[in-house]
Order: sequence, then C-alpha cells, then structure tokens
Amino acid sequence: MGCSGEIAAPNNTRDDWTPPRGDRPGEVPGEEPIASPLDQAPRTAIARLSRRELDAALGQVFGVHGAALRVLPPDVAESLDEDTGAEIETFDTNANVKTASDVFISALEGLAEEIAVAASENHEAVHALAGCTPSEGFSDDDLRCLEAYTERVGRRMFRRPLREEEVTALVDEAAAFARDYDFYVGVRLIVQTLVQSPDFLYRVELGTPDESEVAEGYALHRLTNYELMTRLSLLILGEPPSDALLDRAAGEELSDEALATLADELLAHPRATEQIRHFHASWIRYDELRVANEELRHDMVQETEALIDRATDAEWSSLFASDESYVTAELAAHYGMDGVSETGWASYQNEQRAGVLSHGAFLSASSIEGTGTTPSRRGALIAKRFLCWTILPPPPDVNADDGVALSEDACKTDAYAVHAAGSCASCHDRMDPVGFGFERFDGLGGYREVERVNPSCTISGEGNIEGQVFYGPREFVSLTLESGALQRCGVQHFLRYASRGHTSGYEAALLTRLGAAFVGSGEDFRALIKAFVTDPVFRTRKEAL
Amino acid sequence: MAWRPPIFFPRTASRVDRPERVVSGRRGFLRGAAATVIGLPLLDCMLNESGTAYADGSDLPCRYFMFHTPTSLVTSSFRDGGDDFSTPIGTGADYALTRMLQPLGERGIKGDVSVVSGLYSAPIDVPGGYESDYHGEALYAILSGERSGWDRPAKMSSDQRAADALGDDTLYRGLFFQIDPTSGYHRVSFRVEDGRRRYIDPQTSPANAYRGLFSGFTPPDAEPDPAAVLARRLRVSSLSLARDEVRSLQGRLGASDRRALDEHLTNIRELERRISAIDLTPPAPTCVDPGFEGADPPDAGPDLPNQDARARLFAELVQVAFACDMTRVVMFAGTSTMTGDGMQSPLWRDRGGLHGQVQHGSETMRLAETNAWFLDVYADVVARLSATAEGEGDVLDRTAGVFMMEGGRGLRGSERNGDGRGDPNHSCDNMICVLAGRAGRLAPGQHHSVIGRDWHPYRVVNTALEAVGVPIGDPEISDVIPQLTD
Repeated sequence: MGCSGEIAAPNNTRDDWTPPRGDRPGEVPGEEPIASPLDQAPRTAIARLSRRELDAALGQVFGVHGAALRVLPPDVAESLDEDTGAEIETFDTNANVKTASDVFISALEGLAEEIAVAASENHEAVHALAGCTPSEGFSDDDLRCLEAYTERVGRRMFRRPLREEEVTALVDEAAAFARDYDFYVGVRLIVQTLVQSPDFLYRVELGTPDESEVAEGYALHRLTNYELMTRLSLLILGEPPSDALLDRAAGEELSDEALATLADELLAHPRATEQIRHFHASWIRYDELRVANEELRHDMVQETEALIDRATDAEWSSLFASDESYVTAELAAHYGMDGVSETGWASYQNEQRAGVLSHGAFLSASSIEGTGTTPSRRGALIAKRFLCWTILPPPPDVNADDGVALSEDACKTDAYAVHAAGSCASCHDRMDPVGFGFERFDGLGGYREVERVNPSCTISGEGNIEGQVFYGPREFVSLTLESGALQRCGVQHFLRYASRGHTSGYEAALLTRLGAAFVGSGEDFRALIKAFVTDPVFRTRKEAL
Repeated sequence: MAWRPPIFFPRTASRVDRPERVVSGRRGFLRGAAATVIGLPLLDCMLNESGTAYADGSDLPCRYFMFHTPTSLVTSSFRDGGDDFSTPIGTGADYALTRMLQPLGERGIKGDVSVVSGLYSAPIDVPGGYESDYHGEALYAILSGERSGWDRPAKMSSDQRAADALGDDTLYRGLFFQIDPTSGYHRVSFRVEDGRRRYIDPQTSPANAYRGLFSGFTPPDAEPDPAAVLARRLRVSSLSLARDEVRSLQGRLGASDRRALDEHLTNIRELERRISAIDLTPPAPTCVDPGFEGADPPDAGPDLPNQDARARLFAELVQVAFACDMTRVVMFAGTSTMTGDGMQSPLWRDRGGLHGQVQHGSETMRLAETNAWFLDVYADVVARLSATAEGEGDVLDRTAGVFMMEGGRGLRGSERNGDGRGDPNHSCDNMICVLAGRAGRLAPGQHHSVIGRDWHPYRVVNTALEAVGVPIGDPEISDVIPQLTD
C-alpha cells in the first residue's frame, strides 16, 4: 500500500457533478454509478446519535445541558478506509465508526443516573411534563400520573409515541419504586431507563417495506412520519423534534409540499444557523486550531465563523472568494492589514488573499514548528477537504511528518524536487504544486516572500492545479469555483455529513441532483439542505432481505 | 461534585519516607460471567500464618500492567554519536540514571525496577518485525511479539493475553486507561479473533473510571448507605429494562443491524455482571475509596487537557484497583499510537502536539525531559504499589509492570535504521524497557545492556507475563530475558 495509485482528479466542467473516479464510496472501479432509488438509500436502521445530538436532546427534554458532552466518550474524528488504507476525516454524525463498547455503555449508564437524579429532583418540571401533581403516598391517581409522565417524556425521548407494552413495562417497574419510596423515585427509574434505551440512543428507522422496490437481496423501506421528522430535525436543527414537530408528525403521511414547507420553517430557525456553522466547523476543522497564542486563536475562530455566517446567508462561494474579512486589530496586524483599529469587516489589502483559505484558522492546520509549512501536507489537506481527492497513505518507507529535509544550501522548491522521481511522483506531482501555491502564507497565516530556513530564497508562490497555474488562495479559488470543483466538493462533504457515513455509492446520482439545485439557487446553502430533505431518497432506507 | 487534586507522592520521596502503607483487600471474588458474589474482605486473619496466601490456601493474586509511552528516544536532529540522555550509563546495580530515567531515583524505586537497553525489532518481514512502516506497524509488533502489516496487528496485545489468564475472578478482566482524551484509531490494546481485528476502547475519563470501580462502595466502618442501596437497585432495574428493549429492537431489525446490536447487548450484560458483583457489605478496612468522585480535571486551556492531573488520577486508580483486587491487569497508555500525534500538554505545547513539536521538532534533551514525565507517571504507579502492603510484603511483590515505548534510537545510514530514510527517531533500534516488580523470580535493581538482533522488546513482556503466571502462548517472539530473573 503506498502512494502508487492515482489521485482522483477534479472534474473540469461546472455541469458535471459526478464525483471523481475512485472517490465514490463503495464504488467498483470501472462501473458507472447506479441511480436506482434502491441503491441510494441509507442501509442501517440504527444510526447512533452523536454526542452533541444526545446532549441537545437531554437539554431539550430535561433542561440538563453539557452532561453528555462531559460524560460520554468523544465521537471518532478519524478512521481508516478499509479498502485503500487512506486516513479519513469523519463527521461526528458518522454512525459507521461508533461502537457500543464497554467504555461507552458504562459512560451512558453513568450519564443516565446523573440525568435521572437531576430530573427527578426538579419536582416542578416533573409536574409540568406529566401534566399532573402527585399526592402524598401513591394512589391510583398517582399511577395514572406516572403513566402520563412516561408517555409524554417517552415520546420526546423516543421521538415517537411509546407502544402500550413499552409504557406498561416502564410504569410497572417504576410503580414498585414509587410504592417503596415515593413518586419521584419512580420518575427517576423512568428517566434512568429512557436515557439508556436504544430508541433514544439510535435513530431507529424501521419504516414500512415498499414492495415495489425489491432487487438484488434488498428492499426499500419508507420512513414513518416520526422517523422522517427525526431525520429532518436532527439534520437542520441538530436536535430531536420538539413536541410541536412531533404533533405535526401525527396523522397522515407528510406530503412533499408539507415537507418542503416544514423545511423552510426549520431553516429559518436560529438553531439552523448554528447547525450550518457546525457542519462547516467539522468540515474545515477550524475549531481544532493548534495556535499557541490564545487571543490570536480566538480571533481566528471568530473571523472564520463570521465569514461562514455571512456566506451561508448569501452566496455560499463567497466563503472562499470574499475580499474582506472580520478581524480584530490584533489579527489584522498579524495579517499585515494596515489601519484597522476596531473589530469588524476590513479589506484584505493583499491581492493573493481571498476567503477562508486565507484565514489563519485554515492555514495553521498544516503547519509544523510554528510558522513552518510543508507544501505536501498542505496540498494534501486542500486536495482532500476542498477538492475531494482521495489521498492514499505515503509509502511504508516514507515518514510524511517531517516533509523534505531543508538546508541553507537549497531553496524549498529545489529540495522538493526529490518527489518527482519514482513512485512518489504519482501523488506528489499533483498535491505538491497545490501546496506551493499557498507557500507565501506561513503556518500561522502570516504573509511572507522569502523562505524561513533559507531567507536568501524568494518564494514565488506559484502553484498548479491540473495544469493551470495560480498564485495564492485568490487564484486557486477562482479556478476551482469556475470549474465547479469547489462547490462539488462542498456538496459532497455535506452529503457525507447528512447521510451519517452511509457509503453505498448513492452519492453519485444524488450529488448530481443536489448540485443542480444548489447552482440553480444561486449557491444558497439552505437551498441545498432543502433539496436534500425533499429528495425522494430522504424518505427511504435500504434493508437487506 | 468538584474535582479535587489527587494526593500523590512528592517527587523527592525516597523509599524510606514514603507515606504509610495501605493494606489491600479483596472485596468481590467472582467466578465466571454468572458469578455469585462472595464478600471476601482481606483481613489478616484471612491469610495463612506467613501471610503469603489466603487462609483457604489460594494464592494472593498476581498482577500485570503495562505503561505505554508514545515516543522514541531521539528527535530528528539527533546525530550518530550524540547523547540520547536516556540510555543508562554503566550496567548492573550501580548504573547511573540519565535525564529520562531520573524519576526512578526521585520516586525512590530504582531498586524496584530493572532497565533493559539495546532492544531491537527489525523493520523487515521477520518474526516480531514490522515489514517497514514504523507508524502503522511497528508498535503492533512490539506489543504482541508478532510481525504486523499496515494497521494489521496480529494475535493480541499482552494485556489481553494477561486478561485471559488472570481476569476471570475480578470485577474487570482488565482495565485500559488512556491519559489523553482524544482517541485515535491505532490503539495499543487489541486482539484479532477469527480474522477480525478488535481494538479495545480506552477509558479516557478518570471520573468514569472511578465510578466504574467504586460506585456502591461502602466505607469499612459504616452501615450500608440507604441511598447507595436505592441507587444500586435503580441501576439494576434500569439496565434490565434497557436490555429488554435492545432485545426487542433486535427482533424488529434486519440481520446486519441485529448483529450490530450484539455488542451493545454484551456490554450491558457485562455491566450488569459488575454491578451485581459490588458487595455492599463493608470491605476490608484498608481497601480505600480514593474519593475523587465528580468531574474530570478541568482543561488547562482551550482544547488543552490537563494531562498531568489526569495521569495522577489514573495512577491512583491503578493502585486501588490492584489493592482491592478489582482487576489484575491494566494497560495504561499516554495516548493512542502514532507517536502521540495530537497529544497536547502545557508541558510541551507551543505548536502542534507531542509528535510534531517534541518528537520531530525539538532537541533530544527536550524529548528526554518529556519522556521523563511519562516515566514519572509509570514510576508513580510503581511507588504506589510498593507502598501498598499485602500479606508480609507489598503489592509490588506480586506484580510485573512494563514501561514500553514506541521506538528507540536509530542510527543514520545503518541497516538497522527503521524508516529507511536515515531518520533516527522512527526506529525500533536501541530501545529501552523498564520492568518493575518482584513477582515470580524477577530480580529488579539492575541495568542490562543487550546488544544484538535477538533482543526483541517483547522478550521483556514475556518475562513479565511468565513472572505473574500468564502463559506466554504462541507469539513469534516467545523467549524471555533470563538476566531479569534470579
């Protein structure tokens, strides 16, 4: 396994939304993507919620915020592609890499106990959720009150009404505690159980079989209203459906029109803005900066968040093409911007800078030794995140951490010429030139024109992508927006995020539809989300027979 | 519930002025998965006359632990002939401690450990070798004594082997603690069964680890706490109900999703087993609840875990888990493999983490100082076990604990260099291991310099396993290091 394979190339026309060859998950080389709805639907019926979503749910129902983030193990952020060995940055929604390990189950049990104690001790909240107030002792009325609490809280937690046998099992056990202790101990048992229930932990999607779609050992299941509402709410708001949304899920199957109207409503919610920001943070990973100066770090994150908010409220591509940025006086000075004394939007004053790829938040991600940079690593990072190329791991005898050894005797471009020979060339011939195009920006986002190790060497800043020369982020963005590669990769990442790691090869067909909708909307990111949730695939799941 | 700093031994404590010994106890004594709980506090009267075994004739337990440090001995700037500030100077009992090894003196445990230097794992496809890639393969070979490929460990890590032999009678078959809360995909505890790799998830939360060990623990001189009795009843009932729900859901799922829930179900049952084993009768008077219930230590800064505070809590938990015989096997790691990529600490942070900043980007002395911090965590555990009385001696008398690093010191241009590019810092050449304890016939207090291709680091592991009665099994590297024993 090594760097001997092809890097998947970006496409060359704006209208072609087919992912690069070799980058379609589960793709069989040489075969064209299949566009059947059956092949486009997610497979698992039990995608586990992310830690962030579980925390939002517990905050929503019990008013306890932060406990899940504190107690549960973090979601896996990286994994290895089983087929290629390539390292994959994964979203926190990726269900494929979540395991119900001993550590996780134990932590969940601890979380359940903590939530149950807090919820049961808040008597007013218990009364409000149950819609009744218990008496001293434990009467028949109290038993009905316990049932009401179970039904109401259970519906919120399971995101559907509880079945009768589920209520009975819980209430029977809780009543025993209530009789032995008091009503609120019964409540404690109910909450402690619900938090550990698989129907809370997983996005359970049983659906109903669609007999018209059966092929090759699989059947298509159409989601129930409640399942659909859960998908919708988790995707757009990052939290389970509220009581009001669950009310709207009751009754007849949601029509396409009703779903579209609902999507518009949710996309206008303030939480949708947070959720859009969360997706971009997870994609660009600007919230994991390794910048030692805490004030600078804060300013960089603020800068990137401000641009994301602005771009996703207008034309999304301005995230990459913006001529100005939201900077503090300190960050402006760090970038070499003159005359900025107050925090706000200001022109970059540098013809090579544009958008988020000029931000310290991004440029520091591939830094070494403070301001140092390795064109290979930076080029690979840009290629993976923004062009969706598949970068295979380096050959076994190569230590990729150091980059090419530099000396005072040679300029960086000369030193990196070593990559032009042998098996290195197949990857480095394409990713190094991308990195070199950003070389005038150091590992903290500062601008420079001479090399750090050998100041006698001038940095040309010339990069090359698929035969097209560029200098700096602005020209790189111009080329890739013009070709559509950047938009395509953004949509592809969104699809990975939204599909929770589902990898059956369905993106190829769906991507084309979403891409057309996205471009047609004038690159409105909310329109992209709406296109996804109103696509027929969003209503379905694939089940192995 | 606020976090409180743990009490740990001062760095300058010598063997003679350590804290008073804590006498261990055996609380829960389990047999198999469907164990019946037998409350068995370890009181002096329950030992035989010489204090070397239980009165019923069964031996006092042996324990095995490994501490993994995700670094090697030198940085990229190292040049042949330079000082690595790590390899001991001199051999035998009078060897001099280098900068990295100073914690052995500061903790007063030099006589409790042996140091072995000059160990070697070959970067080629031979028994115990790692084909060629240091990052993705070498550590698996070192941890299992078996050659490995890219992200392809073979057989099992030594803690899993030890758990198979020692784990059936305790609350936990084994514990896997990791200091850094960020867990990568290359984990140091693993097993391969029926061709399937299974990486063990580390416990990265001291608070959760504490809860798992001491929830339901009743102080020795107290009546059972009614609140604890209720809490336990609620835990049992809620888990039982949740288990039923998982089963019910399985019945409504397709085959692959049903299988996916098997692990969930298995681990609920395992948790139920542990809760049922928590004996509410007062345990041995000196099996002490460390009492740091609450949250994990707060970060030292944004996205900057307080690694030192976390490490000390875990060290204390290893001590009490052994002392109370809650487990006999611990894997204790700094982070996942890949030379600590991403692990950050105020100790070494001014740019990208342990790997980039220290392992590659600094001078070798700075790496030695960093390695000394890791060794100090290991030494902390050893000192604690030595200060924990059991029978006529202490817990360390029946323990073997290995300090294992990820790499050693390669030589530029040497055929023994690991990564093929002349970088000495990514090589399993000239490695150092430390072995603590007096279990079996271990004879600590020496430095052994072993130079040659046959001295694989897993031989130290085999020596430790054999000392605590764990069958070495069938790894490709099955020899021991005879010099480490009487």
